[in-house]
Amino acid sequence: MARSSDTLLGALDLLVLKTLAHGPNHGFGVALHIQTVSENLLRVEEGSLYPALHRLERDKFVKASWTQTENGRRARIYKLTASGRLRLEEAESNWDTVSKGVARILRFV
Amino acid sequence: MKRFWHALFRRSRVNADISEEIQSHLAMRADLERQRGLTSAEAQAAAHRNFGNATIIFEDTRQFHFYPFLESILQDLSQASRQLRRNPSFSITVLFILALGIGASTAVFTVVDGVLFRPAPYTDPGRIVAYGITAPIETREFLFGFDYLYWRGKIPAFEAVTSMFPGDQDCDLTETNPARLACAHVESTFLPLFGVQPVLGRNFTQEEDRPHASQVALLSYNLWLTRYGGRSSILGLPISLDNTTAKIIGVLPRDFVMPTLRRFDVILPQQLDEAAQIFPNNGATLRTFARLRPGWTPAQASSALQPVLERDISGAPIPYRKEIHIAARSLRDWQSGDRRQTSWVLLLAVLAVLMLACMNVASLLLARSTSRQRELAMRQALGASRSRLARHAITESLVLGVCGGALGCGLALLLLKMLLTADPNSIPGLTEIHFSVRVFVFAALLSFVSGLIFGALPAFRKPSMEVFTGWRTTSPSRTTIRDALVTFQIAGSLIMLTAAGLMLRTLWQVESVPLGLDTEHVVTAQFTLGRSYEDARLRVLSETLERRLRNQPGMNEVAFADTIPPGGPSRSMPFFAIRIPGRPPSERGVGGMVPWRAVSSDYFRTFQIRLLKGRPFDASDMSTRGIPAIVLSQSLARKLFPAEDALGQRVTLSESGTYIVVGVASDVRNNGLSVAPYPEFYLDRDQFPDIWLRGSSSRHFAVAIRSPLRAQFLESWLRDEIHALEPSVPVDVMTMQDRVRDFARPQRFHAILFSLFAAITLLLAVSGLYGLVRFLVARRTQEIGVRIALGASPTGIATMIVRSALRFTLTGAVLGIVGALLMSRWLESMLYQTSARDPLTIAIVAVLLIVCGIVAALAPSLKAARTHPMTALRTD
Repeated sequence: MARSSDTLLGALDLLVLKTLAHGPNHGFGVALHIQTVSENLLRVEEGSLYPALHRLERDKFVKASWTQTENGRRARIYKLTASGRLRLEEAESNWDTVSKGVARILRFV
Repeated sequence: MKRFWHALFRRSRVNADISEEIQSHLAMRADLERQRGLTSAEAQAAAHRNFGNATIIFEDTRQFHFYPFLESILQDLSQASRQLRRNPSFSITVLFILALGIGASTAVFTVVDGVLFRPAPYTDPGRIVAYGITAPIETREFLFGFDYLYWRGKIPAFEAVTSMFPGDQDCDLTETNPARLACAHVESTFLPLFGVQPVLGRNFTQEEDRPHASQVALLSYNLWLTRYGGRSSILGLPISLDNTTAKIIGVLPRDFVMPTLRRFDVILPQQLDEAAQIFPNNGATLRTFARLRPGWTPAQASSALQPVLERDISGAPIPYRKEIHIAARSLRDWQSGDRRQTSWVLLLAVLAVLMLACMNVASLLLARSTSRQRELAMRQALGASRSRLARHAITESLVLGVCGGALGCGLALLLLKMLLTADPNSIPGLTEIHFSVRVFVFAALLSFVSGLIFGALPAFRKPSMEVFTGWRTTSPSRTTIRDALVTFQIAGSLIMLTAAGLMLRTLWQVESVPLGLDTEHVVTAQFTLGRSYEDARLRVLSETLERRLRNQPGMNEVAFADTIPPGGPSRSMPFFAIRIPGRPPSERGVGGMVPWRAVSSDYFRTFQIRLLKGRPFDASDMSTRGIPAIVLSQSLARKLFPAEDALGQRVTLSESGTYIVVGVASDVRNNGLSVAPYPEFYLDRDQFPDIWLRGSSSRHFAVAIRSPLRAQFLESWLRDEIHALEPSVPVDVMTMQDRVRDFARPQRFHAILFSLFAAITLLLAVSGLYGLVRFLVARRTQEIGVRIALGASPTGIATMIVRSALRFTLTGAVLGIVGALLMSRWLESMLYQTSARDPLTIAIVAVLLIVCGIVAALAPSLKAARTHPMTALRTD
């Protein structure tokens, strides 16, 4: 398995997991949440969420099921699993370390 | 693994899921944009813009649901089948060749599987041996009841021993719907020794195995199913066999077979009278089996048995001792005997045919890949990796292999069915086709392996970019491979042709061996009456039949007997039981068994068996009531009276009295043509009806008629006459010539099989050569055009091409001759009075092959000779 958590590349996973920690959501919802909360600072290509979501699903960190949304559309809802929560904690502490390290290096120069 | 199947079967569902998910995302975004005041079209566009490249995302997403490897295999498969459909004539040719090779191999495997590989359906069959003494007359181990009982439990190598009565024992089911069954008589220890448990009920006990105990019977699975519908309520029911009632106590497992490999329907206790066995001459002959103690091998057991033999024949004259051996043989050896080596030869031969077929297909694929070079080079230039191209080629050959294998299975089934329908006995040891899982696995394995073999060569060829330069070139190494393949095919075909030639010569030799009797114009009938017939009824039947047959005009001779040649008589007595009054008896157990027949006086005239001395039985024997007459075969006369004239001598046949020798008949080859004739004697059936009524084979009748009338007429007449008296008895009517043909059955089978192999390989070799020459001609079109333009004659061109083809043929032939000589050792056991290195056969075969090679090369050569220089120069 790609150890993406060790790198900055794990950021997308972290964002997705963190978003889903607030409650089950569909792909569009996750994208919207990230954009809104980061005040459009993190404006990723919406489509690129899907490979991440499906990879997390394959690794059983999230579970997906089809449901009807309030405005009558069928959507695939993702929900964090128990191992997904653990993964999130791990990813968060990882991110802390990485960002602290990066910040120090930046300050040092 | 679960995900693998998931991936394979849910492929389309996953795809649909992802695209729906993307669509739903786009729709929700568009909804949002519309709420922000965009028009519908603008909203759609914005949604797409925000989303990014949907196609790439789709591909990136779905990869998490599949193995990319599997994906590409599926892709390869579909591409391969497209490729094969595009060129149907090529595919059909390849499939035909493969089906031929795999079909023949599968058919042969089906035949030899039982002999070579299939384990016996017993517990730990490797420890079961057949043991006992062998003599010239009985080459399969047996023991006399006396010896068996004496040594039981005394041989350290054996954990347990058991015995059964030898020979076929037919018995009649005397109930409504009577039927002829095969009954086996075995000891109570028999099933436990083989580790066999009845599927229903129980084995019989030691008490039930005592003489005069109440009868019990075990049924074969087949009889249980066909006659009793597989009901479990049959236990305890009575079954009437030969008018005696037995109680059904069990049913044997479905896969159980007798160690003798003979058919059986019922197993009965043998109820051996142990007390009677102390009189050696009256004792029973037993087939004896043992289970070895762990750690003993059959060879060690054999040497441990030697003291048994020493004790047994210690008083016998030295020359006799030499012909008796004692041994323990593993069950598999005992069952298959020399069929094992033959089976290996057949299997290896057919695999060689398959190998040659693979070579042929490989060269076809090579030829095709040459013509596809541009395509391959183009694909490589466009970025296909070499490994991908190679994998693609292999996939294609595997598809071919598997399809060919499936066709081959069908072909094998058809072939075996046809053979068995034409003649149920044509395949030695195969009475029904076990087209089992094992056979399918074998065929599947063959298909895969051959696919790999013929696919590997073209797969690893590197497409060269040179093909784009316009001038069609082929690097030299390429034809070298094809040259070698064709040369090997020619060599292989020569080996196969030689083997076929040797088999045919053997068949011819076997069929021209003097039999000691004249088979022409003789029609025979054999039938057996049930045990339920009383003596009086048998006698009346015999007399009536004799009268009816003799009263018919045109029947030159009519003979009656209990058995007729070929094949051993069913009655025999130990040699030591034949005594000459006034001489000490021979040592017990020495001299083997002497078979005998009860015949009518016309027997010798009907079969034209020459009487070397004396005369056949005649009516005057009847008047000299005191001493009945006997006719000895030449070899028995020589054995009994080495020094003096046998004629007029008296012999005593154990308890049945003294006889006077009235004639000495020439030996008849009864027991297969490649075995020396064995001694036998004849008693007069007419003088003493009691003779033929006595003993276990009293119910065998044989009639032989010598008549100039047509055989078909005689056959149906004879059948009608017998059926007029006994409407329900099955009668085996055959001309004597057909009966003798059975002698050569194995040789005929081998000859047919090897001729088939040879024909296939010759066809392959010739077509391979033809293809190669055609290819070479096509490649040299320009050169030939130039030659013709410069004045070469068409004959000159044709000769040039044929000569180049002849090079392969000659090289192949030389290689083949070397191969045939090297392999000759293997064939020896299958030949009769034919050298495995017979120079005449090899010479004929080589000439045949070379002629075929020239013919194959002729057509492309003539075409080359007609080449018009202009067309030749215009080809690219």
